[in-house]
Amino acid sequence: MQDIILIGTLMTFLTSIYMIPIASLHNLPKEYNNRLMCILIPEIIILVCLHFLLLQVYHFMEHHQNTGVYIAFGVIAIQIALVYGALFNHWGLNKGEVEKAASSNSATSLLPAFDLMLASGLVHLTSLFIVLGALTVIT
Amino acid sequence: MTIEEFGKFTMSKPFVTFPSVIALVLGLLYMGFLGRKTRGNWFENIDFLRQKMAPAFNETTGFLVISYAVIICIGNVIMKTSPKYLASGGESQEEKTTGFVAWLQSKGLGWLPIFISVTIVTLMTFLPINNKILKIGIIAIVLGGVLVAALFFNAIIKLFGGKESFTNVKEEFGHMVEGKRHEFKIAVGSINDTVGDKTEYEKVFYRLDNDQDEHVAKNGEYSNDVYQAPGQYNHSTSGEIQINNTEFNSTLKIVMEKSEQQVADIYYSELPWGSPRGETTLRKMDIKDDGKSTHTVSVEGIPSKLIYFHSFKRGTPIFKSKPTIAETGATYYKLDDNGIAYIVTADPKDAAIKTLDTAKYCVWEKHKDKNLETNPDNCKSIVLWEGDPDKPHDAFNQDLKNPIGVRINIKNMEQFFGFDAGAVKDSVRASYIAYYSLVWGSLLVYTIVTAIQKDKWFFGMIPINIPKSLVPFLVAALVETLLIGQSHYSLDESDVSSRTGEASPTFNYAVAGFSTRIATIVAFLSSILTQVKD
Repeated sequence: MQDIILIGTLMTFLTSIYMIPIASLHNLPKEYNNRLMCILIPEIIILVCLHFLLLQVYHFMEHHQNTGVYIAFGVIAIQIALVYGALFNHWGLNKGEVEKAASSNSATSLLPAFDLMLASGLVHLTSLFIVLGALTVIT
Repeated sequence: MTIEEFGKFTMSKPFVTFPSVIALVLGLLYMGFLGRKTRGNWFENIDFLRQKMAPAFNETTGFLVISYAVIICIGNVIMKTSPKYLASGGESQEEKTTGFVAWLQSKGLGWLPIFISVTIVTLMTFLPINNKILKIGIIAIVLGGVLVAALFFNAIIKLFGGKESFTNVKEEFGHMVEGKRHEFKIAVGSINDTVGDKTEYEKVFYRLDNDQDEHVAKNGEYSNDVYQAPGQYNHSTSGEIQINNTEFNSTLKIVMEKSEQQVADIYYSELPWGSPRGETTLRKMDIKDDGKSTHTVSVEGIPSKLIYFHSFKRGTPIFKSKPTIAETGATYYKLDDNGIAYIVTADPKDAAIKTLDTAKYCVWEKHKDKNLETNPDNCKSIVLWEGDPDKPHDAFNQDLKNPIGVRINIKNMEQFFGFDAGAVKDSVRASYIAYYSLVWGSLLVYTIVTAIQKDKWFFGMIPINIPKSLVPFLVAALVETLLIGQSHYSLDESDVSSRTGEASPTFNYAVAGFSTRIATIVAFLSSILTQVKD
């Protein structure tokens, strides 16, 4: 029961925090500090939460070797990969490169970091509602 | 996306697309194999699926589906209306060192970190290590290490690459003056270019007005004093400068450098020298009695405009077309309001009329052997038209007899990239309509379905009996709708293309609505968790 509460809490928390880096990468903040606050820190928090979820999946794997657990593992691994891809493609660039990349886009979005983060957000949202739906049906 | 674009996309990510396609094909083949075994039972299968899934089709799963769609709708509003902080850079950004990650992106390998991450996570998961926390720790450390290694590559490239030229980042990214976008200003002038002890030629230079402190004079107006001396930065004599208007308004103001060193007459045009009909855009930069003469160039409503600068020996008259020289006696000329010469008859009373020295004047004419035909020695720097009638803006970049003049390219970024505020607002409006329909339409559908189930059809809906468990969610939906409605109401007043960096009411209320929905989901989660049996 506590595992389910922890997973539910983490996933709901993730839902609220995902919007910050997605919106910020869509319209990249001018100030470097704003980019740190609105993109880097939420991305790291998301990665930490996803690692906690992965830990939970490992815990389930010990006791249940069924398809559902492997699907959950796949979803979390993809989410980690997408967020990491966004992090790498943004923070691997120097300041000038980030500004140039964002300037060459009509909405000042930072591509491909924005696309990766958005994809991760959508995967998360879909999986959250599938989990909630499953919980509803179980009860 | 066209088939050709899809093909390119596929080929650009071979390690992602090919394994995915192979897995999909194998999966379909396997499904076909299984389906063959149960041939003739499709309807039974569908009926079985209906029976199995029926318990899932209830008001709570309906609420979840609606919430999913609502979050996407409000998320779209938040994304599209979030403040636009960023302005575009100038020419100097092109010169900055390219790092490892930028190189990866330029080669279409931006997906590589995803591949690395999936590989590491999968490997660690199936490695026979019993300590789960250690596994997670190793994954985090390896992923972090790869990122640090990429940054380390950047540092190495910087060590061996050329030094980045100094630029004033503040101006590259634009800055506001008293919270408003301002016109962009540059100063142009001419100086002797000295190579060793020898003066080669007179150069035209430009200098960006880029010191925020100097923008505001005592009376709050922009100061003109900044043009009195060349600055220490953004002072250049070569090439083409790109100016984007994202932080500036759509106006470029050009003034003559106020300096004793002016060694040439400077002209600017909106087409290269000699391009047909370009002579109508020719203007002379002038220093008047007050020490400044401002020329204004606007890119309002157009994607971009190129300005070409040319310089001639001081006092060289410039004609728009070849002048008619008197066969006998002197030829007289006068300057029009733009500083361009035209032939006149003698008038002793008019002091502005001058006698033409036939060895001195120059003409807006098509080049001859990449040089002016008339008095080419009087030209000091020029941007000459290439000569293709279909390309009036194309100019020579090298191998000219005279040095190439400065070019300034002003881009109206919203127009240049096709930013369409109307289209953005339409997209946001569609999200609002989808939101209202989803939230309240679903309630209506729920009420009708409940009434049908009781065999009462339309009149069975009245009076509406709302289950007590639904009341908190209805109240939340009402509050959320009010917030989203307020966001919708303020949309017409919001400037979605604004670069002020201030959040609009449309954005703020959408965030509030989003938060309400998240809170509702948390409440929903709590309510079902209390029902979950261990």
